Amino acid sequence: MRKLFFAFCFFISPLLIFAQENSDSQVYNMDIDLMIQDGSSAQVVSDHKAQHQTVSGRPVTLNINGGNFKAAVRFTVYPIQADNLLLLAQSTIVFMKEGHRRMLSSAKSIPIKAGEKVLFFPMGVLNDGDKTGYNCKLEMEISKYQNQPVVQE
Amino acid sequence: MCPDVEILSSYYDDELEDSQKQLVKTHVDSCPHCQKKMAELGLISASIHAEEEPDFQMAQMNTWNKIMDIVDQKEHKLPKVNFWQRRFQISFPAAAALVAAFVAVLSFSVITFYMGKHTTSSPSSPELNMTDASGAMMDDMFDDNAIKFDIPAINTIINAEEPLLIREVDFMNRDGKH
Repeated sequence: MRKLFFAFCFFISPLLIFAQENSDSQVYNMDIDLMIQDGSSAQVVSDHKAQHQTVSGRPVTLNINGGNFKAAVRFTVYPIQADNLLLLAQSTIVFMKEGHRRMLSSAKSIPIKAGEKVLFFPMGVLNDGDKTGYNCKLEMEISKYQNQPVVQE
Repeated sequence: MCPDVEILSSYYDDELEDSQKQLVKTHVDSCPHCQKKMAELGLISASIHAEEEPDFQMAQMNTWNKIMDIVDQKEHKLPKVNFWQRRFQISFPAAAALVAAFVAVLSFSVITFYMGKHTTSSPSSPELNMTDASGAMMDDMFDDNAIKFDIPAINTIINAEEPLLIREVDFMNRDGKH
């Protein structure tokens, strides 16, 4: 009987370890569009698209290398109820200017609905009176991942 | 005429048929010689039983004592072993399967632990002035699993303002365009 008990504990322990992680997990599809916009004309000078699948609670990390700066942006999706989600955006940016380094870190969160477009400006938005620079804009659309049947033409 | 001694002995042991037994009984009742013989048979039988009984009991006792001695010796030779000192026998395939399962579970746990390590970090300070230590932090930030974007080096991109996270609808309503 003791042997059976120890064997049961041995085989059940991995399930207990990962039970919490796997509970209520949902797969999400992230469509990410990184745009560098001219501040005055709103013209997109650089556009990069990416698509990524993740599960709730596991972040998607973007590394942006801009030559004079490096940025790491992490997006994490948490389910609230049905299609209501909480999006957490964390960013860490290091600027390199005239031999000096400056680092900015931030954490922002926003409640959204699945399929809703969200914008994230990791380095802020130019003010109306200062349109001479460029905006770094991340446009995101988070939807619940669904296996769709392949349509053959 | 007196019956044979063997017949008397059989009569004494009650081994004769009823008809013969009746005949012998009638004779023995009337014959002093046969009565004497019957008395002798009784003495012999009594003496035999009297000698046989102690020997049998002694033999029983001896046998029982020997059995108890053997049991005692076995109990002394095999001391009681508690659960943690008990030896288990397990076949090689079962042992190999257990070891393989243990290694697989351990590997999976380690891999999952290191994959989940990235979920715990969270930048806290809104603004930091960094020194050369930022280089090491940058290596930590840029992991191999991240989505990488290389954009043109535009110096004027640096706004260094508060990051903004907003719904597109709200942003359009706020700014009118973009």
